[in-house]
Amino acid sequence: MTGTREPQQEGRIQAMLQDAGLESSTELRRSLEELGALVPDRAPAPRPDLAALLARGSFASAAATTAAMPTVPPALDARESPLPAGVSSLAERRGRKRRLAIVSGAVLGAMTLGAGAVAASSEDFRENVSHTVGSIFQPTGQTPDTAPEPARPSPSDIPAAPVPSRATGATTPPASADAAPAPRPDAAVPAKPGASAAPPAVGRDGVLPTPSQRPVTPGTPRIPGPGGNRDLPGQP
Amino acid sequence: MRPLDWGRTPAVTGRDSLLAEQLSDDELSAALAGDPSGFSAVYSVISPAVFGYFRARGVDDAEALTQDVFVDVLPKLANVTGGHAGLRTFIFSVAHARLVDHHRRAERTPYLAEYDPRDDARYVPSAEDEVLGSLGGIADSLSRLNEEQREVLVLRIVADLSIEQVARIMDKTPGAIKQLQRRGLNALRELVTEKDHAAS
Repeated sequence: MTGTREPQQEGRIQAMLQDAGLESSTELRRSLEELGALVPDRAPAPRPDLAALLARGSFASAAATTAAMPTVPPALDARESPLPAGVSSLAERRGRKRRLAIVSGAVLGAMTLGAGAVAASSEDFRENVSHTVGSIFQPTGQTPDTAPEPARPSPSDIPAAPVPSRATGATTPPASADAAPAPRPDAAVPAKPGASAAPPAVGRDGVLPTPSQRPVTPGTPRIPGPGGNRDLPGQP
Repeated sequence: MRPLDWGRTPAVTGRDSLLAEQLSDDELSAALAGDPSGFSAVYSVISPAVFGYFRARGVDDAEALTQDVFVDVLPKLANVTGGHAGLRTFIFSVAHARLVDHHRRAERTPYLAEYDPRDDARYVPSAEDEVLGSLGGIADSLSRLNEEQREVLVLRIVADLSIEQVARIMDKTPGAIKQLQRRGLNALRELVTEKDHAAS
């Protein structure tokens, strides 16, 4: 503590004690003096960046403006002045953070737009989405209807459609061979006798001696008789 | 504002002779003009008080924080108004803000250290420890004061600021600062006399 500082500090402590009505408290006075003694005699040795600043100085161009000392409120607005090189301000760091947030938001938005465009240009994706959305928003009662829908496009149903046509497919062979249709009409005629193929069955099984049901064509059985039941097409 | 009695010109220009003297008008003008000799004078005169302020407020690395303050403050001196008192108020307002930031950061940062039974606060101190601790001085007593009372007393005595300057730094009215000062002094007196009685 320098010689000039101590009397000034003692005067201040004395004034404070008087103001509080505690000037008689010697313990308190001693404590306050101890508090004032925390100020060292020497300034701490400056570290390199501060030493460079002390040696270099700054804003030499502004020298003339401070010659006259105005008595306007002090100092607190001085923080807006530009910083020299090597000194970072907290405001810049905040700005950097904000810039980072804006850039990351823009990148995210652009990626979302790109992904949306690609999705919109793909038909499969649109179908899947519309189907998914439809299945989500359909009431539960209609859900069974949704099951056959996917079954339609499946290839397994395409042969399923001709299945009923197999019955007709037997008749369609005329397209492939003309000989076949010819016997068909013939076969149609003996078809009734073919229906009477029962007689050989009768012959097989004595158990079914109810030919009385088919006495209508008693004579016809002879024709198919030698050919047998299955030989009808082969006979002509 | 109470005029500060700034005295003679200190013979401080270099780093080797950074004695805490007082700032002359010429040095103040040089500092506000950005002249290196003015910067050195401001640093050598005011940095001890800033260092003491941080020490009294319990900052572990008071020297580093002091230098942070001057790295921040010196380039901005061109806009400082109000003469010597304005300069001191400006520097301590930056120091006050740094201290608030430091405490906030310290609250957020977990304290990592190896376990040491002597540092463990979860025990009842012995009578001997209490007596020895009572000799610990003003720092211990200050730490038991209200935060604002402590700040007012330190700014008034260590930083050597007037009521009005402290009011501007803490963004309060001079009446509120007087009230805080009075209550702080009363609380400190009780703590100090308690210690004296316990010690005797």
